[in-house]
Amino acid sequence: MSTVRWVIEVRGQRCTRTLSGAMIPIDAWPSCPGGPAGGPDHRPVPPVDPSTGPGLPAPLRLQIPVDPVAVSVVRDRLRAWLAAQAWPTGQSQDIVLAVNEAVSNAVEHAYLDHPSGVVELHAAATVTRGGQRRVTVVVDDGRWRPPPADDENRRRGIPLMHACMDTVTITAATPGGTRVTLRSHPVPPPTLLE
Amino acid sequence: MDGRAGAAVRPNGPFRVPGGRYRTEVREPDQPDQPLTAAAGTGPAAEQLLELDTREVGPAAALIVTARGEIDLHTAGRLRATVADALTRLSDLPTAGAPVVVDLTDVTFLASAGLAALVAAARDAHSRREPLRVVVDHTRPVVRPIELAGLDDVLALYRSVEDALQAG
Repeated sequence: MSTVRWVIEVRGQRCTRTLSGAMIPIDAWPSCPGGPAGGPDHRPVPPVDPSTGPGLPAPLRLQIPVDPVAVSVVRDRLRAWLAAQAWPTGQSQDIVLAVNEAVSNAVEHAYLDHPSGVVELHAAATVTRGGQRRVTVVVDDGRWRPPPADDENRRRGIPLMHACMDTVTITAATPGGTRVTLRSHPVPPPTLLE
Repeated sequence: MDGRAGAAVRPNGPFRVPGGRYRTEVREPDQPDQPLTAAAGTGPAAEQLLELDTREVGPAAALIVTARGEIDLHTAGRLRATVADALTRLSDLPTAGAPVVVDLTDVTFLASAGLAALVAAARDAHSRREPLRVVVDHTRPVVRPIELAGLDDVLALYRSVEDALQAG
């Protein structure tokens, strides 16, 4: 048995991930309490936005192997998910570029010390108070060591993320993994778009 | 990872590699029985994500490297190597001052790894005193990262291959 690393809420079901990379519902984990804290080595549960209403698609969740080719598959899937919501083209391209940078950073750096690992992506659309829409994408690399020293791609990738998204938050999550939370600029609801 | 050929996943081009070395799978946990797959390896599949070709123009007037597809973490290394080869070949051409033109008009995606490859190529060209000219049209996924990274001041950008060949 391995330690519970973190708890994530997916469609109302609390899931955790074992060290082998499998995502399992938390009630399948015998030693884990059912409360919101999860366990001693947990990360905070990403907030489920109460304003996620009808008409918004289900969140996109991907488990991405630590493999550079997989990043192109992620882009395609993300593009399709945004297109299904009639996201404006330019903003969609910006989101795909920013997410590509976050996922590429995770894959590139996990490749060295955790090649059998999984990078996790969670994308959700929410409605703002003004009735506009935003997308929030969380990329979780689940690495086991601090990120390596600066390199050229990272140096360009992070400013690209900031330029393409409204907010970018990079947090170190125990035990040494990195979580990037990207929040897009707001766009009008689909009924107002041609 | 097994040796079976992967299923095509991208509508605009198959990732089919008969006898491919391995398969990479991106999974949606809600649909574990339908992984999104891409066959991978150093063979044809990688070239399907980014096609590169190099051709000589006219009587040793220039070398044009044409890129088609996506330039990202996986493919940027090949772009850099192809342009480096072209710069090396250039020194064998009889015409002094002939440029290497990198044609990105058929590129559909350009990531920071691609920007790094272009900058490295430009530095390489500069140190060899050979012109490197990059052609971009109005394709937003190519122009936007170049502008956001401020590389429109660093790279010699042209709107068409013809413009790039006729310059200087």
